[in-house]
Amino acid sequence: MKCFFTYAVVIAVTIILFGGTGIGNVVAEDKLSISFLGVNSKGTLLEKDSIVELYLEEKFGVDLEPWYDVDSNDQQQVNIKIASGEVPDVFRTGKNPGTFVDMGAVREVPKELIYQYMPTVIKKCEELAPDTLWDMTTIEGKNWGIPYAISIAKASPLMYIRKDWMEKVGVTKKPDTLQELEDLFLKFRNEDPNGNGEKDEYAYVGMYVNTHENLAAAEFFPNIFGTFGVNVNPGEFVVDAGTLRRDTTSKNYKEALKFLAGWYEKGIIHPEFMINTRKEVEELLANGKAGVYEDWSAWAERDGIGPFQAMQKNNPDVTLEYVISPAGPDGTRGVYQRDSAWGTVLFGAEVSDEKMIKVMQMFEVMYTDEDVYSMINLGRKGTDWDFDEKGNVMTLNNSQDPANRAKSGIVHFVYHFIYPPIDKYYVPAWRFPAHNYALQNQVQLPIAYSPPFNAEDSAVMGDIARYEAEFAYNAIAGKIDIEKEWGDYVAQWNKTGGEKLLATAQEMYTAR
Amino acid sequence: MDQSLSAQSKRNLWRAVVKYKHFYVLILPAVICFIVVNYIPMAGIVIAFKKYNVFKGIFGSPWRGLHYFERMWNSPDIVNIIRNTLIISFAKLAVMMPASILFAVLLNELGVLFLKKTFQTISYLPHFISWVVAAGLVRALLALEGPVNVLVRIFGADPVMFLGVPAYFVPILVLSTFWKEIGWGSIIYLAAISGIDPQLYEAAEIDGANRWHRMMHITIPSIMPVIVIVLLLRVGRIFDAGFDQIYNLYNPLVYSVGDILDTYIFRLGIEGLQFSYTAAIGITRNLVGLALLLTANYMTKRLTQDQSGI
Repeated sequence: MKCFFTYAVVIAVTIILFGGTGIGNVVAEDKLSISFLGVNSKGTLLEKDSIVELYLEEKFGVDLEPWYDVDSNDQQQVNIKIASGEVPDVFRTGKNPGTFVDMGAVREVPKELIYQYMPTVIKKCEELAPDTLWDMTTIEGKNWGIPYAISIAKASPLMYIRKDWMEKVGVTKKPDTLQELEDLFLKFRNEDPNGNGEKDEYAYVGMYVNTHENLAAAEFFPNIFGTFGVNVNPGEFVVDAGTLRRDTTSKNYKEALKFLAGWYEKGIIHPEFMINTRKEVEELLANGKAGVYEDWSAWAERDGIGPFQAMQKNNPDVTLEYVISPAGPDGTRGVYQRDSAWGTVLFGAEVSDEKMIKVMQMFEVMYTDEDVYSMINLGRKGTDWDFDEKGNVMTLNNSQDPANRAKSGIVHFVYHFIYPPIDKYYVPAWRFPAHNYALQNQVQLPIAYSPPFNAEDSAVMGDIARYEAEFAYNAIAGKIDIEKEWGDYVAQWNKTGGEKLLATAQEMYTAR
Repeated sequence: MDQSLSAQSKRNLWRAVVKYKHFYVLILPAVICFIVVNYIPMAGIVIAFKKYNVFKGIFGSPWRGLHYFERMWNSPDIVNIIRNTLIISFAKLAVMMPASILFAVLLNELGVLFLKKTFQTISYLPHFISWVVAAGLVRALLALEGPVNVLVRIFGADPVMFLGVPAYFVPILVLSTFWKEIGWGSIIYLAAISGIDPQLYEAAEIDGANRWHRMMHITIPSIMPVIVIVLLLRVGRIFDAGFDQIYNLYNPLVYSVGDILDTYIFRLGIEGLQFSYTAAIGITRNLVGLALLLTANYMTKRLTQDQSGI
């Protein structure tokens, strides 16, 4: 009897442990199965059998296997999974796939196949970034991914200024030069625009990021550095008649730092700007301790999240003025220009030609057919979204709420192939005023070159970016004498690997 | 002669194993778990000598020899990073060890049980707050508009941007660790104190020893072996300067004193996917830790004539 029970328990446990691999998981043999790392909506995981997934499976006759248990925004989790050999068939990364290529995680993607199977898409991308598109995916003469481009990158970061504060301090003219900005910001500092009777306002809240480990162009005074003709964005090298340079060791950069240090000393820039996290910056803006920030049009008057939302919550009367590429001391203008070449789609090293071609064919439809694109990006017309009387896309029934997106699969299957005419389904109506303002008024610096460094050189680039950040913050905060320390800074920059990296970048640029 | 002796001791060992077989069976799962979780993965350290390839795996990837170790020693940051790690770690050790012991002894001297329990519980609480939250509290306390600077203003001084001054950064780390971990760190000493034979205290009291005498001549000497063990364990982990805390508190103005091995490894390994390189750093770090531990153990044994140590 005892023996019988033992056997019974063993059999039961075996069934429980291994049952899942059996009959329940049989997939129709003729369908190609594609594992896929999509785009998760803030803090959510995609639910199984979402309408968009089923729609795509039906439309293309494939079996999609999204990574349900992974949040694609958690880059560390994704990296660790990939590094342990679990590579999705299709995933995307930023500009440089060098690290994944180095690790042997991805396969080569012959350019001819891209031209053959997704001709419209790749043509659109080439139109947006004619000089730089293929730089992203070409490493030592081979192509490693499908490069994609976005039209909305054409707008440079704007400076957002509290318009209601301008009215309070009696300034009606929108500032157009650094001097006018300075005059206005000093009024913000001295004339109590938040009206609490205390001198607790600063104008400029500085950065809008979570970490301060590099000088991300959008948040690090892009409109100020721009007037000095300087590009600080990490990983980018400015091309001057075929010769590369990193602007962060240039004379103009030094002058720009001195200028910002002057603003810091005058109390225009919030003293803790190099310490503040994104949330703390939002609080400062919301609490009326600061009235100016710089960012992309995506953060202008966004509904739901972002600084403007935080400001409006505390004070519904908040309005914003946009300024872009003001004139510098000698009249020159400029603002950081980001490249429309945006990122790359990669294929796992073990993906077959057949599967890769199928994905390309799918992309050709997904990113050109407006019905398909609007379905995967916005959901069902009439239920999840519709056009308003002006022809703008309006979302309905809270369909863009992260939790609802996770349920419906909206946005999850969309990579950033964004260009006209499908971009009208991507850019929400609230974004147009800021976006269009930027497009019409910006004077942009030229696009810089982003070399596709391998993992080791990328790490060195990271070290350098960090070193640059350390110097820049200390310089602006008046902790060091810029003129005196400059020589040491440049020497140390070279020693940290800058000199070698510049040479490598130059080689890559010349060889392309 | 020797042979027969060793044969005999082998027999004895086997006899003991047979005799206590049930105990051996009981400990077996723990031993297996230990081997599987702690020892087998150690084979993975070979990636420090290889160029890691996802599909070829740890053992199939091509060899790179000492390339990553050379890269580490050629890195211009590494000396500064190791120095920061050691300074922060020793500062914490130097403050936290005596403070925890003192706290345990003082708690023990509290006559009223209710007060003792209350203080104990209150002091444990911060330990359970994650550093992400605790660092937020520290940042809020030390902000320009924060309570500490309100006090600074009351005393007529200019507000200080505490987290942006390198000279204050290590003290802030130590103090916030003090606040968060003092109670938790004292548990082991409290346990040791409660194991002291009360007769010792009674006898001392009859002999006229006051509280101070009892503390210095009974309590502290009795818990000395525990203190030494804790010290040894801490020395073995000297390169562990507290990643969570620092990562949530540091900024470019204090990189020069706040960047430690763990933040460096995190940046390169987890964010930069440089597994081979960071494995090389990890191995070096652990070897030095082991060497320190063995040295400290040897010194302890020498100093206490084999009475303490592991």
